Amino acid sequence: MNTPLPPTAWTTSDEPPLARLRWAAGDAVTVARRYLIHLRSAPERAAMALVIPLLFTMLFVYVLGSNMRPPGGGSYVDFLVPGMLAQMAVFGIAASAAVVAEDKDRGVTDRFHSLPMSRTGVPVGQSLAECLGGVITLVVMAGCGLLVGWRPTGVVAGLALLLLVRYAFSWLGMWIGLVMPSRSATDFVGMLMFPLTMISNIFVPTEGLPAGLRLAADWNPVSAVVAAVRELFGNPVAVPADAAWPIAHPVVATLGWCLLLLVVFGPLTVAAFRAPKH
Amino acid sequence: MPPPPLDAAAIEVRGLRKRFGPISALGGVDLTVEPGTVCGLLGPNGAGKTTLVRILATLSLPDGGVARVAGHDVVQHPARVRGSIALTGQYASVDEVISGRDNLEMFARLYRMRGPAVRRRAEELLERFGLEDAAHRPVRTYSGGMRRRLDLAVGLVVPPGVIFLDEPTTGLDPQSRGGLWESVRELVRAGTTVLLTTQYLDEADQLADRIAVLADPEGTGGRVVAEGTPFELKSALGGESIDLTVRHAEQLGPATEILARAGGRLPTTGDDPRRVTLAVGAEAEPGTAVLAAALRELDAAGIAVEDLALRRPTLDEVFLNLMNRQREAV
Repeated sequence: MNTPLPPTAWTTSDEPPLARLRWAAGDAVTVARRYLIHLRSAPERAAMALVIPLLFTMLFVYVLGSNMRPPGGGSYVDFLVPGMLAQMAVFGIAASAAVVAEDKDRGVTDRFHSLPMSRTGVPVGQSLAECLGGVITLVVMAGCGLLVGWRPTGVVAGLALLLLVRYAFSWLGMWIGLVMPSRSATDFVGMLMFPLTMISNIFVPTEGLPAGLRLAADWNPVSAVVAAVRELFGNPVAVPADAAWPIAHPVVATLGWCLLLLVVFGPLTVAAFRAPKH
Repeated sequence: MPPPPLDAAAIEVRGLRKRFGPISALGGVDLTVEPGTVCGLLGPNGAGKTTLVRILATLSLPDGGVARVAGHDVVQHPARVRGSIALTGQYASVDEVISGRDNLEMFARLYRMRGPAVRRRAEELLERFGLEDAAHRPVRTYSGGMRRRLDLAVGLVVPPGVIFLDEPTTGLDPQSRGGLWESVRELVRAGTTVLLTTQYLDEADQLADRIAVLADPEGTGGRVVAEGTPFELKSALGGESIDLTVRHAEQLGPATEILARAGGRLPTTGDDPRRVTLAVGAEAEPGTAVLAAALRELDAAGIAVEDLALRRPTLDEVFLNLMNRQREAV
């Protein structure tokens, strides 16, 4: 055995805070790197990340969009694609819940727990990995959109905001994955994605909805995200005079939602991950 | 590189208790494992083996009592404990999606190795455990034996002071089994302490210096009901016996009398008309002395012996015997 090994009994709890932070960052990068290796080792997962945006473009642009006219004219594709990009960002909840719950089921989480590594490093690394997954999905989705005639005036600010959304929502997903008893128990998250994205302004303007439903749709965080990226991509929709506050101030509202998710589910997730279980 | 020596016991458990709601899983466990030894932790399902290991590995908190691993209290200094242990088997899995090499490199980084040392350490372990050819394949394609070896290799990225092994050779062919046992012995020679949980008693018999039997006879939570070397447990709980088979059935009578004289108690006969069995225990004369005396007298009496053997019980028999006694005592 010639490789020099680190000391066997170093103690993370006894280190100065700055050193601990440095090691925690290193652990997070190692955990995030694992996701890239997953893509390489299981190409079928990578293929899924490509197939879903393609499928959704087909379904919504050509089936649903064949007979839709957006409010105030313009193309339905310009109305729809920013919404579908937001949808992809929000789907991160289900993805991260599944990944975290699967690790827990398989005993990988216990292995991490038994290591002298940073306990914050694992969820942070997992969330970074979700971001990487988000970049792939969003870029593919945007590419599909451009192919079917989406014409944004700029993409950087919009995609950056969507990445932040994906990141913030992944913490909610991870928390769900950690508190659920098993991987299969997280399936409901996938089901919840339907009302969460359908009761919003992704596919239709909310003005035409029944009053109660419209209230729900306007205050649905997804609607604020969609309105914000329509603005940032240069595909804005005229804001009705009686619009709810998040629709009238979508970028601020989106940043607020993200901050709220991070402030609430960041600490909850880290705590759920640290807590010794049964 | 050997792990640092431990001053005190590698594992020290006193009065450890754990409840899950109304169910008591551990009802006051006491256990001491000396450094550089293998302790086999046996017990029926539900006796609390998993609960005990999870507490010792800081994955779970006890409700009462004290547990120290490598000198560190598991409740007060869990991070120090984690710096000294490795967890394997059903308790902690590797990543099935990625390859064996990717797993080793990931865990090497999490053990704070950096740069070229990461790859070198992974290669060393792949070679040591004969996994070079499968190094690039996803772990889900590995055979049972390869998986166990990788599992152990991951636990040894940085040699731990204490390693928790769980049924390391279940389902392996005899050759892989022997190879894995040799790896564990090598580890112990280098100074690592092993807590081995298993249902397979010959595995414990092969590897363990001492054995602790965890059971829950009164339904008040698991506790250690027997402890000792495999030899001690066999002598105390299993009882040895002398099996005699004579060539001619008509000589069984005189042969039985001779055995009774040599052993000082009455032998038993079964269905076989040529066979008699004498129980010899720790409280009587040593089995070997009785055997020698019996052999001399049988020879002098001119009895044709087909087979004469001193039989030690297997650990399985000890275990069953112990479980039966527990049941009767309640």
